[in-house]
Amino acid sequence: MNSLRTLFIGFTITFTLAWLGLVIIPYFQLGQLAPQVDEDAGMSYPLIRSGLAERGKQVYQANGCIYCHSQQVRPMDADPIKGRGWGPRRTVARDYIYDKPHLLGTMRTGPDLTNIGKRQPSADWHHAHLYAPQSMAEYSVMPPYRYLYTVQKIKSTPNPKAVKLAKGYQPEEGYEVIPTPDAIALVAYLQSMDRTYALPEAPLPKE
Amino acid sequence: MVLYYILMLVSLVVLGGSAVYALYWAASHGQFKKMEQNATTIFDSDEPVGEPTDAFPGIDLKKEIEHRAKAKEKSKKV
Amino acid sequence: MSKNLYGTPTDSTDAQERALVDASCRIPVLLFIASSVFWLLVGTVFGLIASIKLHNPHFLIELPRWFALYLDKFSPDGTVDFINAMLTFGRVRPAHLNIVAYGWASASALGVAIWLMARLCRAPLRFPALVTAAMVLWNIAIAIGTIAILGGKSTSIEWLEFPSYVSLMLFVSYALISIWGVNMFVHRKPGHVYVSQWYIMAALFWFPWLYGTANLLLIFAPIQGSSQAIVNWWYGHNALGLWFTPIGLAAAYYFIPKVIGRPVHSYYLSAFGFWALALFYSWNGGHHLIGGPLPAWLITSSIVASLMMFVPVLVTAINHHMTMKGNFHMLHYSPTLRFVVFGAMSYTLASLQGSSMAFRSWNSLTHFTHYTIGHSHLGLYAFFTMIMFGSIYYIVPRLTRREWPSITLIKIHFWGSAYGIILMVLVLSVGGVVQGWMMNNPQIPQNTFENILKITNPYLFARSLSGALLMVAHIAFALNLTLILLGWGKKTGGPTLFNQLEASEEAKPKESTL
Repeated sequence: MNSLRTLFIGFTITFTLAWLGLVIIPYFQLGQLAPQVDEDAGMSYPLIRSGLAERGKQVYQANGCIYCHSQQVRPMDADPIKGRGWGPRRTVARDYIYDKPHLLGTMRTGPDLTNIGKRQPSADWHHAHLYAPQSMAEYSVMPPYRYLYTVQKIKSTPNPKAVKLAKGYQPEEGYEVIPTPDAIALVAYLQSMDRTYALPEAPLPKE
Repeated sequence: MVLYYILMLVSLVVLGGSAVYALYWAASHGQFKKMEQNATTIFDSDEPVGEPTDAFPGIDLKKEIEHRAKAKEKSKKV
Repeated sequence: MSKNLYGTPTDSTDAQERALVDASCRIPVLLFIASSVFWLLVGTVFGLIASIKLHNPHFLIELPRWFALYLDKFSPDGTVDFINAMLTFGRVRPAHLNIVAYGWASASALGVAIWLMARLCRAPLRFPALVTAAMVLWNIAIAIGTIAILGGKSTSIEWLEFPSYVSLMLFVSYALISIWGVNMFVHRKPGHVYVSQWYIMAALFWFPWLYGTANLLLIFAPIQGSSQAIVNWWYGHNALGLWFTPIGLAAAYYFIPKVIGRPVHSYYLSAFGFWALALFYSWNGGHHLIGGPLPAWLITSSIVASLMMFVPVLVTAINHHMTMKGNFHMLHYSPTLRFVVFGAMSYTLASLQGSSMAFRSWNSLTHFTHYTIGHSHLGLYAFFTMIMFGSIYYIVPRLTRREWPSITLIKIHFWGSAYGIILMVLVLSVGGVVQGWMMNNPQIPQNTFENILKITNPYLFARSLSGALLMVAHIAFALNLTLILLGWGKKTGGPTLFNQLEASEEAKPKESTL
């Protein structure tokens, strides 16, 4: 224990064992998974996101959504009785092959978002929720993302893109809330979140 | 795919084996001798074993410890 | 001929050599410590903001009308929006984590490690300019990284949120110090090698490897989805287990025996504990992903390794306890010992808790809840940060040759930190268990998401209170540090804290009879 050589060899061996086990081997096992192609239906799973949704994923990343929302369905989360309806099946490695970086998350201050696109397809709902979360759920601690929207004076007619807000959260008379391109992209990303398709290694439960 | 599993197995055996060998080498080359002596290496001739080396600023540690020792003796006599 | 409190002469060659070693480290170590405490303050502020936003989401969003109007004067198109964006929870929270992990914890670790290496190698610091340069680069990187995260350029990878250009700077800085550390060790004074040196050498060797691999496979040339997750948490957990833990243990193994004046109880146990830690800790990473989209063999091996950690942790706990046995009264007299012993005990607690969290049954309850946050603060604050505090209280007087200016500030710091972190861990653990149980039992009608948030609200509020207490403690600490660095505090004559007094044999403390 007095020689640098002994110590060095020891450090290297112990570290390399885990490095092989946790980094290298998983890379071989999981690092080159291919999508599941269903030729009859002409679909490949997981679904590839549109450019707008990909841009929305970057907005999701820039604003740290992972610190309150997870994107992984555990086996117990998919249970029909004990689960919260976050997904019909658990998620597996192939569901994430297009996610760079992964957004699995480690906190559920808010609900899991793996299948939010299926649960909540309405863009209007998402915009209202992002601008004023408390208008959709009074108890929510989600921050209002007002900076993703602009409040501007209504011109001759109301803008069709204007966010439909509940009473008490609307801007003053004569003003409307318009989503910025970031907000539109983010909502497109959320709408794209759907992993309810079946995979050979993750079949859907029989009804 | 099978090749990967073989590679994993081989590298684990090689590393595990070299770990065992390294342990053997260390033991037979005196790396584990005189261990307890190493524990006193942090002490010096002027900061020897038996003398604390830190206190709140301004405390007269010698007096405090004497005071404590006296108080303990008193409580023992009672 | 001058003597210390116990009558031991203090102008021996040993003392002079030690004084030389201390003097050579002054600039780099003090700079590392000072900058780390600065980041501690900044990080605590961000932590407090993040904590408040979790029970009061409108905090700092509903700016007072006069302030909003004032801002609008300068930039009508959205200064308010800009501030809201910068301070949104999703940006402040990673800013807090990265600042305290890299700006406070890693920087203080490096400052303490450098001083420990110099002392234990019994050689003056070689190439101090190299170390100082690394430190400057480090601080620049943290500053840029923080601004980047607040500006929306976070990578969104936990523990690696700094953008790639910042992580490159940090890597260069780390690499410089690692090379320096090995060089120092090679040129050490011949003789015995102490356990702390093994731990520090290991940490300096492992961390760049960890950081480099993680950055390469996650940011520079990202690998596929799920395999990213395991590399992410291999890195995240090993930053704790193979970087912070070894430095914390190195400090504990040095300061506990050094302060009380008794050698470590069993050196064999420390060697065994060291290699057991090296072997098992690195496999733990997968326990962050239990239930996740990964192969079962990987998760199970991480769970097994997490349980095997009982071995080195209990070994270390026994070692420290037996060293302290019969000397607990010294906690009254030494601030360093208070912090370091608190830290060492918290290490045992945090590790045992961590091992228990790896059991699948308990994990299914606590995963994704505040319980995990309580655990991470138990480890990184109650263990690591408290040990760093203790180390700084020992090191700074010996480098500045002055005593700490204010005992009151030290006491405020200790009790504020101790009570603060105990409160935080308690409320987050209880709140987390409640949250997890309610989350997992939706078949009970009262367990709506609304009720979960309503019931955890008071726990989160209490956490903000504990954060405020920690803020007070840190301000007290920063004040004391600023004063001593500016030249306040009684000057000391020799390399230790004691006045030169004639003393007698009776002053020596008792040895444990075991």
